[in-house]
Amino acid sequence: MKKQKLRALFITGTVILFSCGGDKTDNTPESDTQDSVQAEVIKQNDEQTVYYQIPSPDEMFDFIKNGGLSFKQDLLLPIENSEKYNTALQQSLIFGIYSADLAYTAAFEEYQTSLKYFGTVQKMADRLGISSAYDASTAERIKNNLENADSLVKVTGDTYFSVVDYLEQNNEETKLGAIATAGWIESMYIVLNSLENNPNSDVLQRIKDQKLTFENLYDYLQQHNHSPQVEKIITLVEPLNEFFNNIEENNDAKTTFTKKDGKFVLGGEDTVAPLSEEQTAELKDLVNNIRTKIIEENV
Amino acid sequence: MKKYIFGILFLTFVSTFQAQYCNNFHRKYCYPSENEFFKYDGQSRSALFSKGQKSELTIIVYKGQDYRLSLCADENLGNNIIFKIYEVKKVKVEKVVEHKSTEDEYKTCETCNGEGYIDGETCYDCDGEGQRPTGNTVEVVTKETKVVVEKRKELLYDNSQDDFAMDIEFSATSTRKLIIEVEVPEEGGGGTSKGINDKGKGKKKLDTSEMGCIGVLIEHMPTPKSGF
Repeated sequence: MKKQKLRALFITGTVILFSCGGDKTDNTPESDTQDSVQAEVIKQNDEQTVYYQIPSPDEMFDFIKNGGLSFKQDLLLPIENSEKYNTALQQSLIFGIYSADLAYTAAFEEYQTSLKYFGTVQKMADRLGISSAYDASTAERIKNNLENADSLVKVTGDTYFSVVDYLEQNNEETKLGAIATAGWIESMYIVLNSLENNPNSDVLQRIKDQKLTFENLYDYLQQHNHSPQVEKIITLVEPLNEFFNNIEENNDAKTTFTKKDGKFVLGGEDTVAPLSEEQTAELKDLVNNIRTKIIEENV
Repeated sequence: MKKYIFGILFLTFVSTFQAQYCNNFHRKYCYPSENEFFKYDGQSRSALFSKGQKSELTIIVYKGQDYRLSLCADENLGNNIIFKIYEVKKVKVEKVVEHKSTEDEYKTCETCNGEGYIDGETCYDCDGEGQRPTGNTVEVVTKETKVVVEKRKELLYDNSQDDFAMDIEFSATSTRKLIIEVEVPEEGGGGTSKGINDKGKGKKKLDTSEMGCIGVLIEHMPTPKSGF
Protein backbone atom coordinates (compact mmCIF):
# COMPACT_ATOMS: atom_id res chain seq x y z
CA MET A 1 0.00 0.00 0.00
CA LYS A 2 2.80 2.36 0.99
CA LYS A 3 4.61 1.50 -2.23
CA GLN A 4 1.51 2.30 -4.29
CA LYS A 5 1.15 5.67 -2.58
CA LEU A 6 4.81 6.46 -3.16
CA ARG A 7 4.55 5.54 -6.83
CA ALA A 8 1.42 7.67 -7.29
CA LEU A 9 3.15 10.60 -5.59
CA PHE A 10 6.24 10.08 -7.74
CA ILE A 11 4.24 10.21 -10.98
CA THR A 12 2.23 13.22 -9.82
CA GLY A 13 5.40 15.05 -8.80
CA THR A 14 7.09 14.23 -12.08
CA VAL A 15 4.13 15.39 -14.16
CA ILE A 16 3.99 18.67 -12.23
CA LEU A 17 7.70 19.24 -12.76
CA PHE A 18 7.57 18.29 -16.42
CA SER A 19 4.77 20.73 -17.05
CA CYS A 20 7.19 23.57 -16.24
CA GLY A 21 9.27 22.70 -19.29
CA GLY A 22 7.48 24.72 -21.91
CA ASP A 23 4.44 26.64 -22.97
CA LYS A 24 1.03 25.12 -23.46
CA THR A 25 -1.07 25.42 -26.55
CA ASP A 26 -4.22 23.98 -27.95
CA ASN A 27 -4.94 23.65 -31.61
CA THR A 28 -8.52 24.28 -32.42
CA PRO A 29 -9.43 23.04 -35.88
CA GLU A 30 -10.72 25.75 -38.15
CA SER A 31 -11.87 25.61 -41.73
CA ASP A 32 -9.33 26.76 -44.26
CA THR A 33 -9.70 28.29 -47.65
CA GLN A 34 -6.79 26.47 -49.26
CA ASP A 35 -7.18 23.26 -51.22
CA SER A 36 -6.70 19.97 -49.41
CA VAL A 37 -4.45 21.44 -46.74
CA GLN A 38 -5.36 20.76 -43.15
CA ALA A 39 -4.91 23.93 -41.13
CA GLU A 40 -5.25 24.67 -37.47
CA VAL A 41 -5.08 27.99 -35.71
CA ILE A 42 -2.44 28.02 -32.99
CA LYS A 43 -4.03 29.21 -29.76
CA GLN A 44 -2.90 29.30 -26.16
CA ASN A 45 -4.41 26.64 -23.89
CA ASP A 46 -3.45 23.99 -21.37
CA GLU A 47 -3.24 21.00 -23.66
CA GLN A 48 0.33 20.55 -24.81
CA THR A 49 3.92 21.53 -24.34
CA VAL A 50 5.76 23.67 -26.91
CA TYR A 51 9.53 23.95 -27.23
CA TYR A 52 11.23 26.58 -29.37
CA GLN A 53 14.60 25.43 -30.69
CA ILE A 54 17.41 27.74 -31.82
CA PRO A 55 19.97 26.61 -34.41
CA SER A 56 23.44 26.63 -32.85
CA PRO A 57 26.21 29.07 -33.91
CA ASP A 58 28.35 26.38 -35.57
CA GLU A 59 25.71 25.88 -38.28
CA MET A 60 25.97 29.52 -39.30
CA PHE A 61 29.79 29.47 -39.42
CA ASP A 62 29.91 26.20 -41.31
CA PHE A 63 27.59 27.78 -43.83
CA ILE A 64 29.39 31.13 -44.23
CA LYS A 65 32.75 29.44 -44.56
CA ASN A 66 31.36 27.63 -47.59
CA GLY A 67 29.92 31.00 -48.70
CA GLY A 68 33.41 32.43 -49.12
CA LEU A 69 33.71 34.72 -46.07
CA SER A 70 37.16 34.89 -44.51
CA PHE A 71 38.21 34.61 -40.85
CA LYS A 72 38.67 37.90 -38.95
CA GLN A 73 40.53 37.53 -35.68
CA ASP A 74 39.68 41.07 -34.56
CA LEU A 75 35.96 40.23 -34.36
CA LEU A 76 36.53 37.82 -31.47
CA LEU A 77 35.89 38.99 -27.92
CA PRO A 78 39.34 38.90 -26.25
CA ILE A 79 39.61 36.11 -23.70
CA GLU A 80 41.00 38.56 -21.12
CA ASN A 81 37.45 39.96 -20.76
CA SER A 82 36.17 36.75 -19.22
CA GLU A 83 37.13 37.65 -15.65
CA LYS A 84 35.25 40.92 -15.34
CA TYR A 85 31.62 39.74 -15.32
CA ASN A 86 30.01 39.15 -11.95
CA THR A 87 26.30 38.49 -12.20
CA ALA A 88 24.86 35.18 -13.43
CA LEU A 89 23.08 36.99 -16.26
CA GLN A 90 26.25 38.72 -17.49
CA GLN A 91 28.25 35.51 -17.20
CA SER A 92 25.60 33.55 -19.14
CA LEU A 93 25.54 36.16 -21.90
CA ILE A 94 29.34 36.23 -22.15
CA PHE A 95 29.38 32.42 -22.11
CA GLY A 96 27.11 32.56 -25.18
CA ILE A 97 29.47 35.00 -26.91
CA TYR A 98 32.57 32.90 -26.20
CA SER A 99 30.77 29.73 -27.29
CA ALA A 100 30.00 31.36 -30.64
CA ASP A 101 33.62 32.57 -30.92
CA LEU A 102 34.82 29.03 -30.21
CA ALA A 103 32.53 27.68 -32.96
CA TYR A 104 33.86 30.39 -35.32
CA THR A 105 37.53 29.55 -34.68
CA ALA A 106 36.83 25.82 -35.04
CA ALA A 107 34.90 26.24 -38.30
CA PHE A 108 37.82 28.21 -39.78
CA GLU A 109 40.38 25.73 -38.45
CA GLU A 110 42.13 28.24 -36.18
CA TYR A 111 43.37 25.42 -33.98
CA GLN A 112 45.48 27.22 -31.37
CA THR A 113 42.86 29.97 -30.94
CA SER A 114 40.17 27.28 -30.57
CA LEU A 115 42.11 25.70 -27.73
CA LYS A 116 42.39 29.07 -25.93
CA TYR A 117 38.70 29.80 -26.35
CA PHE A 118 37.78 26.31 -25.22
CA GLY A 119 39.75 26.90 -22.01
CA THR A 120 37.87 30.17 -21.45
CA VAL A 121 34.48 28.59 -22.12
CA GLN A 122 35.31 25.78 -19.70
CA LYS A 123 36.32 28.25 -16.96
CA MET A 124 33.12 30.20 -17.45
CA ALA A 125 31.09 26.98 -17.29
CA ASP A 126 32.67 26.34 -13.89
CA ARG A 127 31.64 29.77 -12.67
CA LEU A 128 28.10 29.24 -13.96
CA GLY A 129 27.85 25.87 -12.24
CA ILE A 130 27.27 23.98 -15.49
CA SER A 131 30.64 22.30 -15.89
CA SER A 132 29.05 18.91 -15.18
CA ALA A 133 27.53 19.20 -18.64
CA TYR A 134 31.03 18.64 -20.02
CA ASP A 135 32.55 15.30 -20.62
CA ALA A 136 35.82 15.17 -18.66
CA SER A 137 37.63 13.93 -21.74
CA THR A 138 36.52 16.83 -23.95
CA ALA A 139 39.69 18.92 -23.54
CA GLU A 140 41.75 15.84 -24.36
CA ARG A 141 39.61 15.17 -27.45
CA ILE A 142 40.18 18.75 -28.63
CA LYS A 143 43.96 18.46 -28.19
CA ASN A 144 43.93 15.15 -30.03
CA ASN A 145 41.92 16.60 -32.89
CA LEU A 146 43.90 19.77 -33.45
CA GLU A 147 44.94 18.68 -36.92
CA ASN A 148 41.55 17.43 -37.99
CA ALA A 149 39.14 20.24 -38.88
CA ASP A 150 35.99 18.10 -39.01
CA SER A 151 36.68 16.48 -35.66
CA LEU A 152 37.48 19.83 -34.05
CA VAL A 153 34.16 21.27 -35.23
CA LYS A 154 32.39 18.15 -33.97
CA VAL A 155 34.02 18.20 -30.54
CA THR A 156 33.41 21.94 -29.97
CA GLY A 157 29.85 21.51 -31.25
CA ASP A 158 29.30 18.58 -28.90
CA THR A 159 30.33 20.66 -25.89
CA TYR A 160 27.81 23.38 -26.80
CA PHE A 161 25.03 20.84 -27.35
CA SER A 162 25.81 19.16 -24.02
CA VAL A 163 25.41 22.48 -22.24
CA VAL A 164 22.13 23.24 -24.04
CA ASP A 165 20.76 19.78 -23.28
CA TYR A 166 21.85 20.01 -19.64
CA LEU A 167 20.13 23.39 -19.22
CA GLU A 168 16.97 22.19 -21.02
CA GLN A 169 16.69 19.09 -18.87
CA ASN A 170 17.32 21.04 -15.67
CA ASN A 171 14.78 23.77 -16.50
CA GLU A 172 17.47 26.49 -16.42
CA GLU A 173 15.56 28.67 -18.88
CA THR A 174 17.16 31.95 -17.84
CA LYS A 175 20.70 30.74 -18.44
CA LEU A 176 19.68 28.98 -21.65
CA GLY A 177 17.83 32.08 -22.91
CA ALA A 178 20.89 34.25 -22.21
CA ILE A 179 23.35 31.81 -23.82
CA ALA A 180 21.19 31.22 -26.92
CA THR A 181 20.54 34.96 -27.35
CA ALA A 182 24.17 36.01 -26.96
CA GLY A 183 25.34 33.11 -29.15
CA TRP A 184 22.97 34.17 -31.89
CA ILE A 185 23.94 37.87 -31.54
CA GLU A 186 27.66 37.00 -31.75
CA SER A 187 27.20 34.83 -34.84
CA MET A 188 25.19 37.63 -36.51
CA TYR A 189 27.84 40.17 -35.42
CA ILE A 190 30.60 38.11 -37.01
CA VAL A 191 28.69 37.47 -40.24
CA LEU A 192 27.43 41.04 -40.71
CA ASN A 193 30.89 42.49 -40.01
CA SER A 194 32.56 40.04 -42.39
CA LEU A 195 30.48 40.98 -45.44
CA GLU A 196 32.64 42.35 -48.24
CA ASN A 197 31.41 44.14 -51.35
CA ASN A 198 29.10 42.01 -53.49
CA PRO A 199 28.50 39.34 -50.88
CA ASN A 200 27.49 35.86 -51.90
CA SER A 201 23.73 35.63 -52.50
CA ASP A 202 23.48 32.45 -50.38
CA VAL A 203 24.96 34.31 -47.40
CA LEU A 204 22.48 37.18 -47.87
CA GLN A 205 19.68 34.62 -48.07
CA ARG A 206 20.83 33.05 -44.79
CA ILE A 207 20.95 36.50 -43.15
CA LYS A 208 17.39 37.41 -44.14
CA ASP A 209 16.16 33.97 -43.06
CA GLN A 210 17.34 34.86 -39.56
CA LYS A 211 13.98 36.63 -39.24
CA LEU A 212 12.44 33.18 -38.64
CA THR A 213 15.25 32.11 -36.32
CA PHE A 214 14.91 35.31 -34.32
CA GLU A 215 11.15 34.75 -34.04
CA ASN A 216 11.83 31.37 -32.44
CA LEU A 217 14.34 32.92 -30.06
CA TYR A 218 11.93 35.73 -29.19
CA ASP A 219 9.04 33.27 -28.65
CA TYR A 220 11.28 31.24 -26.34
CA LEU A 221 12.12 34.35 -24.32
CA GLN A 222 8.45 35.39 -24.16
CA GLN A 223 7.57 31.90 -22.95
CA HIS A 224 9.86 32.44 -19.94
CA ASN A 225 9.26 36.13 -19.32
CA HIS A 226 8.23 35.50 -15.71
CA SER A 227 11.95 35.69 -14.89
CA PRO A 228 13.21 39.29 -14.37
CA GLN A 229 16.50 38.34 -16.09
CA VAL A 230 14.63 37.08 -19.15
CA GLU A 231 12.65 40.36 -19.13
CA LYS A 232 16.00 42.17 -19.35
CA ILE A 233 17.04 40.05 -22.32
CA ILE A 234 13.72 40.78 -24.05
CA THR A 235 14.28 44.51 -23.53
CA LEU A 236 17.80 44.11 -24.93
CA VAL A 237 16.61 42.49 -28.17
CA GLU A 238 13.38 44.48 -28.56
CA PRO A 239 14.87 46.76 -31.29
CA LEU A 240 15.58 43.64 -33.35
CA ASN A 241 12.02 42.45 -32.85
CA GLU A 242 10.76 45.76 -34.22
CA PHE A 243 13.21 45.57 -37.13
CA PHE A 244 12.19 42.05 -38.15
CA ASN A 245 8.48 42.84 -37.72
CA ASN A 246 8.92 45.48 -40.41
CA ILE A 247 10.53 43.07 -42.87
CA GLU A 248 7.98 42.10 -45.45
CA GLU A 249 6.73 38.55 -45.42
CA ASN A 250 4.90 36.73 -48.17
CA ASN A 251 2.12 35.05 -46.23
CA ASP A 252 0.56 33.71 -49.43
CA ALA A 253 3.61 31.63 -50.37
CA LYS A 254 2.48 28.05 -50.93
CA THR A 255 4.45 25.19 -49.42
CA THR A 256 4.70 21.75 -50.94
CA PHE A 257 5.93 18.52 -49.37
CA THR A 258 6.13 15.89 -52.04
CA LYS A 259 8.01 12.67 -52.57
CA LYS A 260 10.35 12.49 -55.55
CA ASP A 261 12.52 9.46 -56.28
CA GLY A 262 11.95 8.12 -52.78
CA LYS A 263 12.86 11.38 -51.05
CA PHE A 264 10.65 14.15 -49.72
CA VAL A 265 11.16 17.70 -50.95
CA LEU A 266 9.99 20.72 -48.98
CA GLY A 267 9.37 23.39 -51.59
CA GLY A 268 7.73 26.72 -52.19
CA GLU A 269 8.49 30.38 -52.66
CA ASP A 270 10.55 32.38 -50.18
CA THR A 271 8.43 33.76 -47.37
CA VAL A 272 10.84 36.49 -46.24
CA ALA A 273 11.54 39.36 -48.65
CA PRO A 274 15.22 40.10 -49.49
CA LEU A 275 16.85 42.79 -47.34
CA SER A 276 17.86 46.01 -49.08
CA GLU A 277 21.39 47.39 -48.55
CA GLU A 278 19.95 49.94 -46.12
CA GLN A 279 18.12 47.24 -44.16
CA THR A 280 21.27 45.11 -43.98
CA ALA A 281 23.20 48.15 -42.69
CA GLU A 282 20.47 48.86 -40.13
CA LEU A 283 20.49 45.25 -38.96
CA LYS A 284 24.28 45.42 -38.59
CA ASP A 285 24.00 48.57 -36.45
CA LEU A 286 21.34 47.03 -34.22
CA VAL A 287 23.34 43.84 -33.70
CA ASN A 288 26.57 45.80 -33.04
CA ASN A 289 24.78 47.98 -30.45
CA ILE A 290 23.33 44.98 -28.62
CA ARG A 291 26.70 43.23 -28.55
CA THR A 292 28.32 46.40 -27.18
CA LYS A 293 25.69 46.54 -24.42
CA ILE A 294 26.42 42.92 -23.49
CA ILE A 295 30.20 43.27 -23.33
CA GLU A 296 30.02 46.63 -21.53
CA GLU A 297 27.80 45.06 -18.84
CA ASN A 298 24.97 47.37 -19.82
CA VAL A 299 22.12 44.85 -19.64
CA MET B 1 8.68 18.73 10.52
CA LYS B 2 9.99 15.34 9.42
CA LYS B 3 7.19 15.20 6.84
CA TYR B 4 8.26 18.54 5.36
CA ILE B 5 11.89 17.47 5.16
CA PHE B 6 10.83 14.20 3.53
CA GLY B 7 8.64 16.15 1.10
CA ILE B 8 11.45 18.51 0.12
CA LEU B 9 13.93 15.66 -0.26
CA PHE B 10 11.40 13.71 -2.31
CA LEU B 11 10.68 16.59 -4.68
CA THR B 12 14.40 17.22 -5.06
CA PHE B 13 14.87 13.56 -5.94
CA VAL B 14 11.99 13.60 -8.43
CA SER B 15 13.27 16.83 -9.96
CA THR B 16 16.79 15.46 -10.35
CA PHE B 17 15.48 12.13 -11.66
CA GLN B 18 13.22 13.63 -14.30
CA ALA B 19 15.85 16.17 -15.27
CA GLN B 20 18.58 13.65 -15.76
CA TYR B 21 16.61 10.69 -17.01
CA CYS B 22 15.99 12.10 -20.47
CA ASN B 23 19.32 13.96 -20.60
CA ASN B 24 20.87 13.35 -24.04
CA PHE B 25 18.33 10.58 -24.70
CA HIS B 26 18.23 11.40 -28.42
CA ARG B 27 22.03 11.21 -28.66
CA LYS B 28 22.21 7.92 -26.82
CA TYR B 29 19.22 6.10 -28.28
CA CYS B 30 18.19 7.52 -31.67
CA TYR B 31 19.70 5.95 -34.77
CA PRO B 32 21.93 8.46 -36.57
CA SER B 33 22.07 8.38 -40.36
CA GLU B 34 24.54 6.05 -41.97
CA ASN B 35 25.35 8.86 -44.40
CA GLU B 36 28.52 10.40 -42.94
CA PHE B 37 27.73 13.82 -44.43
CA PHE B 38 24.80 14.30 -42.09
CA LYS B 39 25.75 16.39 -39.07
CA TYR B 40 24.06 16.63 -35.70
CA ASP B 41 21.65 19.58 -35.55
CA GLY B 42 21.46 21.59 -32.33
CA GLN B 43 17.67 21.75 -32.56
CA SER B 44 17.42 18.09 -31.49
CA ARG B 45 15.74 17.48 -28.14
CA SER B 46 14.51 14.89 -25.65
CA ALA B 47 11.66 15.10 -23.15
CA LEU B 48 9.72 13.04 -20.68
CA PHE B 49 6.27 11.97 -21.91
CA SER B 50 3.28 10.37 -20.29
CA LYS B 51 0.77 8.28 -22.25
CA GLY B 52 -1.76 10.44 -24.03
CA GLN B 53 0.58 13.44 -24.01
CA LYS B 54 1.35 15.60 -27.02
CA SER B 55 4.29 18.01 -27.40
CA GLU B 56 5.59 20.33 -30.08
CA LEU B 57 9.07 21.27 -31.17
CA THR B 58 9.32 24.42 -33.29
CA ILE B 59 12.39 24.35 -35.54
CA ILE B 60 13.84 26.25 -38.50
CA VAL B 61 14.94 24.46 -41.67
CA TYR B 62 17.09 26.36 -44.15
CA LYS B 63 16.99 26.43 -47.92
CA GLY B 64 19.69 24.29 -49.55
CA GLN B 65 19.94 21.79 -46.71
CA ASP B 66 18.85 18.16 -46.41
CA TYR B 67 17.32 17.18 -43.08
CA ARG B 68 16.79 13.88 -41.36
CA LEU B 69 14.43 13.59 -38.40
CA SER B 70 14.40 10.42 -36.33
CA LEU B 71 12.53 9.50 -33.18
CA CYS B 72 13.39 7.09 -30.41
CA ALA B 73 11.39 6.23 -27.33
CA ASP B 74 11.35 4.20 -24.16
CA GLU B 75 9.87 0.75 -24.76
CA ASN B 76 6.91 1.18 -22.43
CA LEU B 77 5.48 4.01 -24.55
CA GLY B 78 4.58 1.45 -27.20
CA ASN B 79 4.86 1.07 -30.95
CA ASN B 80 2.52 3.63 -32.38
CA ILE B 81 4.08 6.96 -31.55
CA ILE B 82 2.64 9.57 -33.84
CA PHE B 83 4.72 12.35 -35.26
CA LYS B 84 3.51 15.02 -37.60
CA ILE B 85 5.27 17.84 -39.41
CA TYR B 86 3.45 21.13 -39.78
CA GLU B 87 4.42 24.37 -41.41
CA VAL B 88 3.79 27.52 -39.36
CA LYS B 89 1.94 30.02 -41.53
CA LYS B 90 0.98 33.57 -40.77
CA VAL B 91 -2.37 34.60 -42.10
CA LYS B 92 -3.75 38.12 -42.08
CA VAL B 93 -7.37 38.10 -40.97
CA GLU B 94 -9.84 40.89 -40.36
CA LYS B 95 -11.31 40.85 -36.89
CA VAL B 96 -14.11 43.02 -35.56
CA VAL B 97 -13.26 44.28 -32.11
CA GLU B 98 -16.10 45.62 -29.94
CA HIS B 99 -15.40 48.36 -27.40
CA LYS B 100 -18.04 48.93 -24.71
CA SER B 101 -18.24 52.12 -22.64
CA THR B 102 -20.75 53.91 -20.43
CA GLU B 103 -21.72 57.46 -21.30
CA ASP B 104 -24.17 60.07 -20.01
CA GLU B 105 -27.47 60.04 -21.83
CA TYR B 106 -28.41 63.26 -23.58
CA LYS B 107 -31.61 64.54 -25.08
CA THR B 108 -31.54 66.75 -28.11
CA CYS B 109 -33.02 70.24 -28.21
CA GLU B 110 -36.13 68.90 -29.82
CA THR B 111 -36.80 67.00 -26.58
CA CYS B 112 -36.36 70.03 -24.30
CA ASN B 113 -40.08 70.15 -23.82
CA GLY B 114 -40.22 73.87 -23.67
CA GLU B 115 -37.38 74.25 -21.12
CA GLY B 116 -34.88 76.58 -22.67
CA TYR B 117 -34.95 78.17 -26.10
CA ILE B 118 -33.42 77.52 -29.42
CA ASP B 119 -31.39 80.14 -31.27
CA GLY B 120 -30.77 78.68 -34.65
CA GLU B 121 -28.94 75.38 -34.02
CA THR B 122 -28.03 76.15 -30.39
CA CYS B 123 -30.23 75.13 -27.48
CA TYR B 124 -28.92 77.38 -24.71
CA ASP B 125 -30.60 75.98 -21.65
CA CYS B 126 -29.83 72.46 -22.72
CA ASP B 127 -26.31 72.39 -21.19
CA GLY B 128 -24.15 72.61 -24.25
CA GLU B 129 -24.43 72.61 -27.96
CA GLY B 130 -27.92 71.42 -28.58
CA GLN B 131 -27.99 68.64 -25.97
CA ARG B 132 -29.26 68.25 -22.43
CA PRO B 133 -28.16 65.52 -19.95
CA THR B 134 -30.99 63.37 -18.66
CA GLY B 135 -29.09 62.15 -15.57
CA ASN B 136 -29.15 58.57 -16.88
CA THR B 137 -26.25 56.58 -18.36
CA VAL B 138 -26.27 54.35 -21.42
CA GLU B 139 -23.94 51.59 -22.67
CA VAL B 140 -22.33 52.50 -25.99
CA VAL B 141 -20.84 49.80 -28.23
CA THR B 142 -18.35 50.84 -30.90
CA LYS B 143 -17.01 48.37 -33.45
CA GLU B 144 -13.55 48.50 -34.99
CA THR B 145 -12.23 46.32 -37.79
CA LYS B 146 -8.58 45.36 -37.28
CA VAL B 147 -6.22 43.31 -39.45
CA VAL B 148 -4.40 40.86 -37.20
CA VAL B 149 -1.78 38.23 -38.02
CA GLU B 150 -2.85 34.80 -36.89
CA LYS B 151 -0.45 31.87 -36.73
CA ARG B 152 -1.74 28.66 -38.26
CA LYS B 153 -0.21 25.28 -38.68
CA GLU B 154 -0.65 23.36 -41.89
CA LEU B 155 -0.05 19.63 -41.98
CA LEU B 156 2.76 18.49 -44.27
CA TYR B 157 3.43 14.95 -43.04
CA ASP B 158 1.79 12.42 -40.72
CA ASN B 159 3.69 9.23 -39.92
CA SER B 160 0.44 7.38 -39.10
CA GLN B 161 -0.18 7.55 -42.87
CA ASP B 162 3.30 6.16 -43.49
CA ASP B 163 3.25 2.94 -41.45
CA PHE B 164 4.34 4.78 -38.29
CA ALA B 165 7.79 5.43 -39.74
CA MET B 166 10.15 6.75 -37.07
CA ASP B 167 12.44 8.68 -39.39
CA ILE B 168 12.13 10.85 -42.45
CA GLU B 169 14.55 12.63 -44.79
CA PHE B 170 13.78 15.66 -46.89
CA SER B 171 15.47 18.37 -48.94
CA ALA B 172 14.49 21.96 -48.10
CA THR B 173 14.34 24.13 -51.20
CA SER B 174 13.01 27.04 -49.15
CA THR B 175 13.50 28.19 -45.56
CA ARG B 176 10.58 27.37 -43.29
CA LYS B 177 9.53 27.30 -39.66
CA LEU B 178 8.22 23.82 -38.89
CA ILE B 179 6.46 22.24 -35.95
CA ILE B 180 7.33 18.65 -35.09
CA GLU B 181 4.38 17.34 -33.10
CA VAL B 182 4.91 14.13 -31.13
CA GLU B 183 2.03 12.26 -29.54
CA VAL B 184 2.03 9.15 -27.38
CA PRO B 185 -1.29 7.31 -27.72
CA GLU B 186 -3.29 6.82 -24.53
CA GLU B 187 -2.95 3.05 -24.80
CA GLY B 188 0.39 2.55 -26.49
CA GLY B 189 0.74 -1.14 -25.68
CA GLY B 190 4.00 -2.89 -25.03
CA GLY B 191 6.77 -3.90 -27.33
CA THR B 192 9.76 -2.16 -28.76
CA SER B 193 9.23 1.16 -30.46
CA LYS B 194 10.35 1.50 -34.04
CA GLY B 195 13.48 3.54 -34.42
CA ILE B 196 15.10 1.86 -31.46
CA ASN B 197 18.19 -0.11 -32.18
CA ASP B 198 17.96 -3.60 -30.73
CA LYS B 199 21.71 -4.14 -30.81
CA GLY B 200 22.76 -1.88 -27.99
CA LYS B 201 20.80 1.28 -28.20
CA GLY B 202 17.25 1.46 -26.91
CA LYS B 203 17.67 -1.07 -24.13
CA LYS B 204 16.64 1.39 -21.45
CA LYS B 205 13.43 0.66 -19.64
CA LEU B 206 11.53 2.91 -17.24
CA ASP B 207 9.98 1.40 -14.15
CA THR B 208 6.82 3.47 -14.29
CA SER B 209 4.63 2.06 -17.06
CA GLU B 210 2.93 5.32 -17.92
CA MET B 211 5.94 7.52 -18.59
CA GLY B 212 9.07 7.47 -20.67
CA CYS B 213 11.54 9.53 -22.70
CA ILE B 214 11.20 10.45 -26.34
CA GLY B 215 14.10 11.82 -28.33
CA VAL B 216 13.92 13.72 -31.61
CA LEU B 217 17.27 13.58 -33.39
CA ILE B 218 17.68 16.15 -36.17
CA GLU B 219 20.56 15.96 -38.64
CA HIS B 220 21.40 18.19 -41.59
CA MET B 221 23.80 18.47 -44.52
CA PRO B 222 24.04 20.61 -47.65
CA THR B 223 21.77 19.21 -50.35
CA PRO B 224 23.99 17.22 -52.72
CA LYS B 225 24.16 18.78 -56.18
CA SER B 226 23.08 16.41 -58.90
CA GLY B 227 24.07 16.40 -62.56
CA PHE B 228 27.04 18.14 -64.20
